[in-house]
Amino acid sequence: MSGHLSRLALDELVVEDAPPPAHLATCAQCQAKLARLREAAGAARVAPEFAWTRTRVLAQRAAPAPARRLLRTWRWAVPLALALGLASVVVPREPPEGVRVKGGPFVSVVRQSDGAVDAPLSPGDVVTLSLKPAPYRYALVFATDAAGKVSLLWPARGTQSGDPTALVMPPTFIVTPGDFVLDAFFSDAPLPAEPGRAALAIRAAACAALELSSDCQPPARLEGAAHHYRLAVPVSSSP
Amino acid sequence: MARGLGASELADLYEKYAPTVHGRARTLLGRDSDAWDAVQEVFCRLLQAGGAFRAEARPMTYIFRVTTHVCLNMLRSRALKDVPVQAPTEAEAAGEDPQEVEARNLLRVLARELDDRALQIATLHFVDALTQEEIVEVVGLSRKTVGRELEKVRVRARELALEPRS
Ligand SMILES: [Zn+2]
Repeated sequence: MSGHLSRLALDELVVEDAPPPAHLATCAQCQAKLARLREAAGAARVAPEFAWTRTRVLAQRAAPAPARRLLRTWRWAVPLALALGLASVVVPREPPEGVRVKGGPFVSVVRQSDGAVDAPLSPGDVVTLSLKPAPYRYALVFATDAAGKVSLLWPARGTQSGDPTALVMPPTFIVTPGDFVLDAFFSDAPLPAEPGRAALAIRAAACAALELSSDCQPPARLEGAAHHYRLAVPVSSSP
Repeated sequence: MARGLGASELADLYEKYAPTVHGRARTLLGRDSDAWDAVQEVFCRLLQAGGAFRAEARPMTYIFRVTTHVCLNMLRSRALKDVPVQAPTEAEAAGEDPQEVEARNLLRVLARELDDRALQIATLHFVDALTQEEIVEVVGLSRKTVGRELEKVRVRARELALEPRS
């Protein structure tokens, strides 16, 4: 054998688990390999998949056992809502048809196992978000957890409203412990996300100061929003 | 699970090791998206193993063991299904170390030939260039067994005229 450093030894140098062995100082080939591995590790760290995969791994840790199996089999998760206790996973599965008939634009949460709409949920439930903006075109959906933390839920990786008719797959989530509240803003033109998030966060903080639930008052009117819809989703404490 | 990995502990391990797990999975599997799938699976296994990782004197050997298992499972299920052996790994192979590409092609052939243990050892030997001592550490078998398996694997690779020049 050559006496060059193995991949194991090189990887240990990349993560700085081991001090450089004497061979390294004298071998241009090993130095070059190490440089290449370091570069690749740096590139992997800044790749979007790095954060997505971390989110999936951490969601797996947070999810109750039955949901873990499901999470493992899904390839691409959208990185959001972890802090909120939801792991968002896009799956090629349609929500049940005939969700509900109701006037006005709204958002509903559909449980995949039985098609129950806006039902109290349990940790581990897989749910999809059903967005019905008509007669408006755009929707912007936030979720607020019991601690008052507000996250943009949909569009998952956007900074403004999205057009639900452009959705290829329904946004899908695995429910983890903790009640949450959804706030949807509907409009004819896309709204920037930040003012909506701020408006909700201010009210949630005010509610927290009064020791009331984070949806104790509706958010201030949002400029450009034609309609606001709120849905409180209780989540039981046991799976 | 009481002594399992905490969220911040898991996040720290991910931060530190995920890039090298990805790099090695990329070498073994050839496709970037497969490599990220492997990263997820590796960390899920670490999670399942709970605190076992903490006890490792040399954490990278543990990472290698799990990553090898995960990648070879993926490779085998793929080798059984499809992919003509000589299929180059497309544009992704561009800029890759030719030795790595060669080693991966060897691995694809061996994946159809060898049992799990031998394939694992072949991978650590041919692809990762581990010393025999390192292989012993990673696979947790006796020196003697590893030596015997290595011999078997070398013979088979030679028969297939595939042993990379070393
Ligand atoms: Zn060297």
